[in-house]
Amino acid sequence: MMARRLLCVAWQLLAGACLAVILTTPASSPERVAAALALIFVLPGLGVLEALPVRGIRGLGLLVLVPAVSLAVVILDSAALYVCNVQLGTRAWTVSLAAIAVVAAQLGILRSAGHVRWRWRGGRVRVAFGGLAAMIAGGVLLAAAVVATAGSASKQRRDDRYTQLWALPDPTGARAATVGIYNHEGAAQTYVLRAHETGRTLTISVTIGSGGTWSSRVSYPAGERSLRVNLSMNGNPAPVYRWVQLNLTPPR
Amino acid sequence: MTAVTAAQTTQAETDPAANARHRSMFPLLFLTSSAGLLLVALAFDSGRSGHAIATPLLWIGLMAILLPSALRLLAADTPRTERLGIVVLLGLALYAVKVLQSPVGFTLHDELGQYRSVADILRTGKLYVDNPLVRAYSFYPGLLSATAALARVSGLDIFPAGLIVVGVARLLVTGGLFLVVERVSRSARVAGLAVLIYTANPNFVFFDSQFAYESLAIGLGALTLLAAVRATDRGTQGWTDLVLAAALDAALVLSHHLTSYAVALFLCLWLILELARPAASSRRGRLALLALVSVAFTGAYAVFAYHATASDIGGSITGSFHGLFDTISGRAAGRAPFSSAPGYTDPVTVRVVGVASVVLLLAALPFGLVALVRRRPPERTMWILALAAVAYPFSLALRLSSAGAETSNRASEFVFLGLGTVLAVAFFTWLAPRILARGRRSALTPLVLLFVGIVFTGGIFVGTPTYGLLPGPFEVSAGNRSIDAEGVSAARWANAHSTPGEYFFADEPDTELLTAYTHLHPQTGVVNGTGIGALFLSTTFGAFERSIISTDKLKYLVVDERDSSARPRSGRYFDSATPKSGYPTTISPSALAKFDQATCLDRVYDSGHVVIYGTQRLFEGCQ
Repeated sequence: MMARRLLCVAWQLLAGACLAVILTTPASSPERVAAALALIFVLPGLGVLEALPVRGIRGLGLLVLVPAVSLAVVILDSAALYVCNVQLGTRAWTVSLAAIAVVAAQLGILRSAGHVRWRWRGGRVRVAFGGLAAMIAGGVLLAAAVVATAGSASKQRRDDRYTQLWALPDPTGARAATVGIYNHEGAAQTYVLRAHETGRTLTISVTIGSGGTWSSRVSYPAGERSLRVNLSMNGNPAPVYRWVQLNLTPPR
Repeated sequence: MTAVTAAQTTQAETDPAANARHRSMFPLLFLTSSAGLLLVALAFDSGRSGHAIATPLLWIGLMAILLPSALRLLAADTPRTERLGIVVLLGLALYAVKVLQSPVGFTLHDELGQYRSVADILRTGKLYVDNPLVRAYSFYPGLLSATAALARVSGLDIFPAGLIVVGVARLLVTGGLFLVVERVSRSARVAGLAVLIYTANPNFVFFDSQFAYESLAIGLGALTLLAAVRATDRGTQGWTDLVLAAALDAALVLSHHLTSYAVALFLCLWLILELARPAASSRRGRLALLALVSVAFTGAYAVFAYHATASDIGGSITGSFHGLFDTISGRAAGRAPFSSAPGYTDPVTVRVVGVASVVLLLAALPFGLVALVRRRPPERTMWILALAAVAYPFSLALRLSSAGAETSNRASEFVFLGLGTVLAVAFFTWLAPRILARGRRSALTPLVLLFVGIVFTGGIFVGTPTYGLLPGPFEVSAGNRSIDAEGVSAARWANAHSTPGEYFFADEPDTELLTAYTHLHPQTGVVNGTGIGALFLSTTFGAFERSIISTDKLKYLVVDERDSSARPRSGRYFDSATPKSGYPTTISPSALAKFDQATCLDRVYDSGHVVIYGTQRLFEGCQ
């Protein structure tokens, strides 16, 4: 009975610790991700199952039931927060889920401890030494699968080489346009950018690192009919690799 | 390892002392599954490089995951806990196949649509923000809110958060279905084999592994049924399970329409069957209460989400039955099974294995039903599962019409639960004893493994187009094969340089990408009786094309010049208004290039294949 209550207290402390970690550590840090996983997939389910103990499910069965109940709690909690017009965000989800876990575990403590009949030692998968070796070998193969996939996926991304060229008229109506380049060629590139206005050509040479961007404001005189921007690679003005065109004062 | 009859099993399954005497094979299965996943990863690697070895590697890898697990589930001496561990491992390993296929981002229609809804929740802090791709997504926010909560609370991006949530959902599906069938059939062996056959349903490996509401809902549905079955059992603390079942059902109702309807129907049928026989009043009372609660939840929410739900599944269901009726009555030509879009044909092996899997299941079904009738199971729920199994041939009939193929596909997740259970009962109570009685023990296991292998492989062929199995070079309108880095970059550029709420038009893959990664709205459908796709198909830019732009308030036209290189693999260039006979030819290159000559359009973006045109000047009166 005492062990049961101590376990409930442990869930409550863990929920509090998760709350603190999530609210005080930067996004995506390992400790915050771990705390978030516990708060969303484990602690609400453990708390609710302390308050509403189910008999006859233990070991791997609990492995299934706990995340199911946790997810149900998250979904219903989100709906309840929405109905109460609470902005769904880090603070709302963290505080409400931690509170549910703590309150549910407290209900578990308040209930007669005799009603809780989980047997933690039953029904586990026995892992002998040979089994452990197989598990480790399996883990190594899994890691190899992940590395192979990461390698080939990033290779495919590298093989998808292209350059983005764009031009947008000034939103305020000023006689200017913003021209931009994104370099996805996988290596630094020297681009030659030629902006053709009526009667004159503006040439800009720019080197952009791999994954880098560049943008510049190009102004044009009143009465200009169109602005065409050609982009070439490797420092040569030809051939044209990308082009965009803004029709500035098209005929009405 | 040998298969034995049901009568021989109970001690090894459930007795902890017996369990302890048996050496667990779980670590070995973990090893073989991992080896299978490594082969699958190498297959996908080869696929990305365009090597022919990819296909055999994929199937060898999948069989390395499936067959050792099947072998162990068929064995007599496998402890109950290990069976549960095996089905969970199998489910997660097959989920990992989908993750390895698309490891850097979502690539499927439903995934990109749901991504938009999660992004909307994170942006606004509200549920039910209108989803412009499929309206129903935002009305069923179960998966969305769980993913948004994890993303916001952990600081992870939507993609990894979504992968984690669906991975947990997969745990619930296989583990939950095992526990339900075990409870209903009172046999862990039947449960293990039933889940194994369930994994052969056409959607299990890819469609049900995607980031979509159904992937989570099936797991919640299974756990709802488990709690319901436990709640009605005598001798347990029924009321706690009752509360748990109601809570899980409420979460399910908020997660997916069809699954919540299926669970409510299951509970109602169960109640009717229980009312037809003498039973303890508390059992009936609890069941009636639960069925009432489920119907009330489901009904009330169906009314609330009626329009969104009807637009998602209503047309598909009614279209299925109309299509079937038209096919039978000769008013419309039937759809050839395993046919691809016009211009493409599936390999003969795909057709043969696909048909063989269906034939094997149809041939085995009567034996399963006879075995079930002879066994006279005390649990009424077994008869509901048998009813679901009987629905299998009818769901296949829907595939004879084009409109019904999708409905049939969606039904398979529910039908296969019954089919798996019935066939598992038949195996352990009818087939195995007969073969063993004739002294052909050595033939039994290979026979069943062959059956499982063919049904599993054929199921994938039935549910997933061949071009969608392996990653590889870009293909025109080919689901995940049409989502590449250049398209994603175009969408992200559009997100940075456009005004939220403006409308755009694009081909189907770019529509999905721009909907997911921007706050723009796609336009689909018809204008003045003509499909909006005519804007891209016509070779001139005149008054008609201008009228489409102005009527649909299109601010951006997103053109992928690769659309002129081949006919669409999916049969559709655009999200709607596809000609009934498909596209006879590719889009003409001049049709896509015509916008360059239009003096009132701005060519604002060019990344090689993807070009974006701005139409603002048309709305400023440019003629």
